Amino acid sequence: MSTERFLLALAAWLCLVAPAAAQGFNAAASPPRFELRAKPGERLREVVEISNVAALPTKLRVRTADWTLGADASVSFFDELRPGSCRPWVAIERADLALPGGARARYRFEVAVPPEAPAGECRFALLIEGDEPVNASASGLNLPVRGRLGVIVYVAVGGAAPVLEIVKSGVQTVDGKRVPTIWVRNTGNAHGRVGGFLSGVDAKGRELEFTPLSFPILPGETRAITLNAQLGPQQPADAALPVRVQGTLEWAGASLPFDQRFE
Amino acid sequence: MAPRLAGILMVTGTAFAVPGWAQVAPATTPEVVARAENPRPTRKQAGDPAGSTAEPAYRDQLIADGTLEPDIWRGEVAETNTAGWPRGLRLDAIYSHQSLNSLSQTQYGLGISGFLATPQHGTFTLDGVVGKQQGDGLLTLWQRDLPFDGGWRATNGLGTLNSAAIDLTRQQQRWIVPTTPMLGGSTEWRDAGGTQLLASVGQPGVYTGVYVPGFRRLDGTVTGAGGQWTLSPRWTVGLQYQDAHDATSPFQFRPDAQRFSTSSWFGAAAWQDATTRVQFNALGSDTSLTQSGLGAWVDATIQDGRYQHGFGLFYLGTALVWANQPVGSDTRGAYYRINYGSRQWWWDLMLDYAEPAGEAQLPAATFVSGSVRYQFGQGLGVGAGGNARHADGTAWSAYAYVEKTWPLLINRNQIYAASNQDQRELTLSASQTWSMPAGTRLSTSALIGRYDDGRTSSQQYGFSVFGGGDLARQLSLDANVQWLNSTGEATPTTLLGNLGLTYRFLPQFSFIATLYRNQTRGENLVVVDSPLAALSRRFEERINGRGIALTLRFEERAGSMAAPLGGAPGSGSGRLSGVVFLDANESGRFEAGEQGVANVTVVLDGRFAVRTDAQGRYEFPAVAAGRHRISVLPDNLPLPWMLVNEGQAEVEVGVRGNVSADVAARRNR
Repeated sequence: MSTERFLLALAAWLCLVAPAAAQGFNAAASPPRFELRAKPGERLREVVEISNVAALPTKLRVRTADWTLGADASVSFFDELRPGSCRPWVAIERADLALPGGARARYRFEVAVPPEAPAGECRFALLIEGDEPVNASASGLNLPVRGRLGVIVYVAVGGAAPVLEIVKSGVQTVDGKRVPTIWVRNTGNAHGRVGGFLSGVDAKGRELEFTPLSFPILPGETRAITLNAQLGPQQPADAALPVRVQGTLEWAGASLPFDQRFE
Repeated sequence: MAPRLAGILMVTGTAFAVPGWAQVAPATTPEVVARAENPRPTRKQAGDPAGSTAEPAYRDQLIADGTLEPDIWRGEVAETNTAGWPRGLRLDAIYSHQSLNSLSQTQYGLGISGFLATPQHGTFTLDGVVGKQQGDGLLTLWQRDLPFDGGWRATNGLGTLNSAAIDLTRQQQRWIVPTTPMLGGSTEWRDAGGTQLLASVGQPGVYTGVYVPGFRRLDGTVTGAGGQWTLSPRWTVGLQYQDAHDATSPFQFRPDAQRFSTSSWFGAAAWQDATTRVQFNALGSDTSLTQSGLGAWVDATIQDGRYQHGFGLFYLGTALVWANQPVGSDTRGAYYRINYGSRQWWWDLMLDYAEPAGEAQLPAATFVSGSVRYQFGQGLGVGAGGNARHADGTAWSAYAYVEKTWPLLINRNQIYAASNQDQRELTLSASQTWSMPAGTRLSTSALIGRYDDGRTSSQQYGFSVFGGGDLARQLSLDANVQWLNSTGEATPTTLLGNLGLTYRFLPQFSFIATLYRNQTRGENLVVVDSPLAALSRRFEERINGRGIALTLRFEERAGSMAAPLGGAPGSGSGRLSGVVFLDANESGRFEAGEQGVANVTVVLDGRFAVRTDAQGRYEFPAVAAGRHRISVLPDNLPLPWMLVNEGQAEVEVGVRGNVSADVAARRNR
């Protein structure tokens, strides 16, 4: 196994044991993301609620970060300013936060959009980190792990909006299963998400509903969006191909009739 | 590489808001992402210093140069003493004064609520109120989930509680086999194989009071015992006996109330597979007042993809009772229900027919109810529904609505019409649920209408507002106001308002105030939502009520919270909260004008109990991650309201999650 594969496997394993691994970090944040709108020259002040659900007091560090989404849906955070970063518009309440056991803080942050800001989307993350690393065990290894929450903030400036188009449709294999998928390109200047109501009858004769994966498609990127099948509410299913999927796709107030056969 | 869906910690369902996603990043190894929405495990990019302890490459600006005072709310969890078993204590000093027209009533009491979770002897909880209240005080000691060898677990209760009941009495579609509130004791034993054995004995009574709960004892003794056995994966049978000796009815408090003795039994057998469940029920009783009674009914449910069918037949003879409690009697008939659910379509239909089983000169009653909802898009839905009941006359109600989601609110415009013999009503309403910043909530509603009772008529218009939030540090406020102006004689001008305030002035002490003001002449909405006769609730007398309830609360928790409620030491936990409310428009959401139900018990996993506050809210601050069941006990639920899904709900609590689970009560149909 290559080093990279080993590290990815270790990462996935740690993800599964995250509750135990992060025993010393019991913070929660609400809401998980902000989707704001602002005009040039406008200053927004928002509140994120940070809770310490443990009995012991905890010290947290809060800061902003730029972030990107990889082609494989991975997320990466950057402390340094990335090109086009809007973090210089952002001010946070404080960098260090001490929370007693069971307490919650209404943590404030501001986004001051410059008057000359062009239409576009300001994106950043609020990172909330434990002050002390805790130990996590994985495959016999003991690793220092720092608990961390990330709250994603989107600010659409000057009427920025997504413009999505389907560039391709087909079938891709996910976890060993063949799943109907559409590839969606965003030529707008704000992120978008695909929604809508789709249905179809699969090769087994089952009437299925299909839900597009609610994944952000950032401006300028093309992303694979799987259409996840359900037999009924809370009844996920694996669609037997071929299947013809019909209905309407929606994003940001727009809708598009959809009729596609997947095989 | 294409994205892999759902993430390893994907949150299931959409009914509950689960904020926050956690990221656990080794300081010197690849970054690990565990979140509820999008990203999945990945390797940190080279040169990415985020997560490292090195000097940051960018320093954030601070609001007001970092001089902003932190806005921190202290929680309910003790922050110092973490030694010993998890334990908690809450003491409430309660005062309430209520007036209704020329009558007034002052009540006060001292409430105690505590728990101690032991590793070997289950969880002990103590819950009680003593003071000046309607009836006597309440005091209940529970020992829940006491483990034994062989997989047996016992739950024992002593004090004011409800009689124990086998699970099959609760799995009912059309009829209710009630429990009896009593002052006594109960024991219930379960094993991992599905066997349930129970017994209870005590003096019957009724729960009273809202702000200062109490218990009014009735005469006599109620004794019960029962068992339930899982014979195979498909068959379950159960039998319960319930006896009332020298007792009085819960609806008669006169000293000269007639005493009676009854012997009643209930037997049931249930068959089920993955999609079908059929339960055969039989109930018999013998009383000293009348002849013996016998009843039998069968309920079936079939899940067929997105369709769910429910149907049954019933015959309930005359004079049926369950210990000292009334149950359905002197009726026979059948019902059929069907509902279809998809993301875009949802509809249901119910047909119910009942006629007297004996010699009663009552007419047969047919009840038809249905509703439909269609979602045009993610932000636009329309729906309609109606109920009609035909017996000696015909009564009906119908509604239609359009619900649209906007960036700042969800708006629902609705038209409602109803007719019940002489009465007719037509209203148009618009309700809004607003998107609000964290820690705040707001919903509003406005209506205009016309009411006609055959003699007089009136026009109405009004509004209602529900809002609240954390106004300042340690101070939260919730307010609910309904105002309805009437321009005629047929309906009254109505003003209903309540205000709830919580102020935590010291880490362990808080002050809770509730005020309400009611001015009306009684409700006279035309209600047609039940196979039972339509309710006529006209009151000529003007109602002028007001009240205040004040609570001074001391609360402390100690012990190692490494063992969250329902979890093993060391497991992660989340927060579970919600509101139990009267869902007047059956939207499933707590909206303006709807009331929270105060002082009902919410049980987590059958072990941990809290009571709702004056606003109907409850909270479990630290619950083990995973799937949990909450059950609401309808002790103080006003008639004719019934809890949706019998007050049961399954919730998925994520580590560090913040799950909201509201429980709705609807009018009994």
